[in-house]
Amino acid sequence: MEPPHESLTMDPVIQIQDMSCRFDRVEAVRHLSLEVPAGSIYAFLGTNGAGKTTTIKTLLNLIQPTSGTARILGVDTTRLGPQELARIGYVSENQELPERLTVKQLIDYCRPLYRTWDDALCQRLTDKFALPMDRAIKGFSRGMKIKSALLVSLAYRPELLLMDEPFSGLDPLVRDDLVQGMLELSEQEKWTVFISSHDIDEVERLADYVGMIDNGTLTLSESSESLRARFRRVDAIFAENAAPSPALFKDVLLSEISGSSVRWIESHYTSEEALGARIKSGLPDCKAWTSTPLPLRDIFIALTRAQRATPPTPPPL
Amino acid sequence: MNIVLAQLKKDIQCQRGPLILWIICLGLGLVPFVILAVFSHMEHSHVQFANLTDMQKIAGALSYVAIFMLCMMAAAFGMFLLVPVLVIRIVHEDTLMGTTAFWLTRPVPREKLLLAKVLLIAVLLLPLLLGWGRDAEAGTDHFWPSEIAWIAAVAALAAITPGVQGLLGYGLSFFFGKIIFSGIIERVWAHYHGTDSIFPDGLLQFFTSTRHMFHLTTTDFIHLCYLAGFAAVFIHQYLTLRTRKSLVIFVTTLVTVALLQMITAAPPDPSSAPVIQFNSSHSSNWQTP
Repeated sequence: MEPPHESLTMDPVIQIQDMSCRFDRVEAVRHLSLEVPAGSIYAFLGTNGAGKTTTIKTLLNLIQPTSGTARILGVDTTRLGPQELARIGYVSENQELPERLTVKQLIDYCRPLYRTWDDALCQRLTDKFALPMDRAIKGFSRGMKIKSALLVSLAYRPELLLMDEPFSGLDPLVRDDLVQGMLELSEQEKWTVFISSHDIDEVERLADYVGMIDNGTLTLSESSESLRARFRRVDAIFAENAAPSPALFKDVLLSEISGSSVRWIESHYTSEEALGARIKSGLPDCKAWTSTPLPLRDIFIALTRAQRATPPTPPPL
Repeated sequence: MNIVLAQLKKDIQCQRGPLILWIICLGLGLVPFVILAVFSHMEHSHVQFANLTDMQKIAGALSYVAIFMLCMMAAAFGMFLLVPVLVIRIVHEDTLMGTTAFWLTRPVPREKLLLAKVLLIAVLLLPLLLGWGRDAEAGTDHFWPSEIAWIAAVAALAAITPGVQGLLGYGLSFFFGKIIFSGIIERVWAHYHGTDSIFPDGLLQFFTSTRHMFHLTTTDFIHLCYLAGFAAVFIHQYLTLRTRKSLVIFVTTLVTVALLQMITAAPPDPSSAPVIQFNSSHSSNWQTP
């Protein structure tokens, strides 16, 4: 498997180094290291319970890491104070909004907290999200609550926006609204977005960089471009009675052998020529083959399955 | 200051319903006094009641007593039940436990949040303090520390619990825990030492002279100790968010005051609030100031 870390050249807004978070006997995050470059949208993908929320909570100093360090906007997360929080936006499915307030009252509450609050942007977002201003938030649907949270997390133009499962439980229309809104804003604002999700299809449209975490361990962290470039699904047809041995595919991600055809996922794809040469040398009975790019969703599934098939390494003593 | 005001405004908006009820109760509490003032004014203005029959006078007096009773009950409800409920709601609105509270991820300095909460709670307590101030002028009241200590206990418990369920659980545990703790110490002492005082006379004299210095009754002194302890828990929790340490301060307050009660051995004082009044030791060497 590819080493999980790719060297990032831009100034990182988030730097996590060898961070672990343990709750009693459960190690929610294990030796996590990643960097998020400034101005990028970083998708942090993982299944339920993979450690995404714990990582984000650690970034906001809501949880302290058991070991290792995390820095956000150049500050150690354990020293995060109001000054840094004024530059960070946070939207989470778990966050408790002051639900007895109306959206207008929520805006009035948040405005004095931020020197950079932009009333014009707030008005634009309010119009875009079509939120009723004079109804208490507690009567809102889930989608409207997320939109309200997003509204008061964007109106002060944060340098960094942390989003924890923002699409969870939303209908496709609201998801699309949110993604479109974020894409539009990303073009206008110079911000960094760190978004955790298991809704990979939505995130794929947004992400410049992708990190994948499974069972607390980071399995991958690199740019979407390089990820899409190096993963390919390969379909090969062999001569009859010459089906290859499964042992030949033990080093690839997910292989399926069906009669004389084989499908596998290539994680080191560089070019058709290089792949052809490797197939020719390793699988001489192959009659024909094709390779197709993989969507992020399939890459995620392949990597997660491969990670789970690998026996876990014992934690250092 | 903007942040404190924004926080205050938000808390008032969030508690608008109970606050309106509280104001109504306050208003009702004032009604008998307004009626008395009106009658007094009418007497001064030489308005004659002579043309009323005896029955009308009796009916008027009964009506006044009924109104007085109802208004006082409403005021008592507002002051003694609604205020603690409001305090709990105000503190729990921006919970200090867990990781999901909205304010935790916003640039709200903890000391400003604390100031906003204290200001709002102080406003709720203001009518009580004014009432007691007036009684104290008349030299009839020793009551205020117990009620404030009771509110402080509620506020401290709210600060170290995430919700009402936890608050009730902790509150009951502490209440009965303290009674059991005091009881066990007294029983064990009585078993080995009979009726001898647990603490040396010097210690008793020290505490007696301390409370004399501040012109306090023993009960008020005990309640002030509670107040100081619970205030410490409340402030510590707001400024540090270290719930375990705050819990330790809370328990230390209870244990310390339980020991103080044994030292001063205050007998039950009927003028004290019922919740604070769980003195369990009695001794003949109790002294009044």
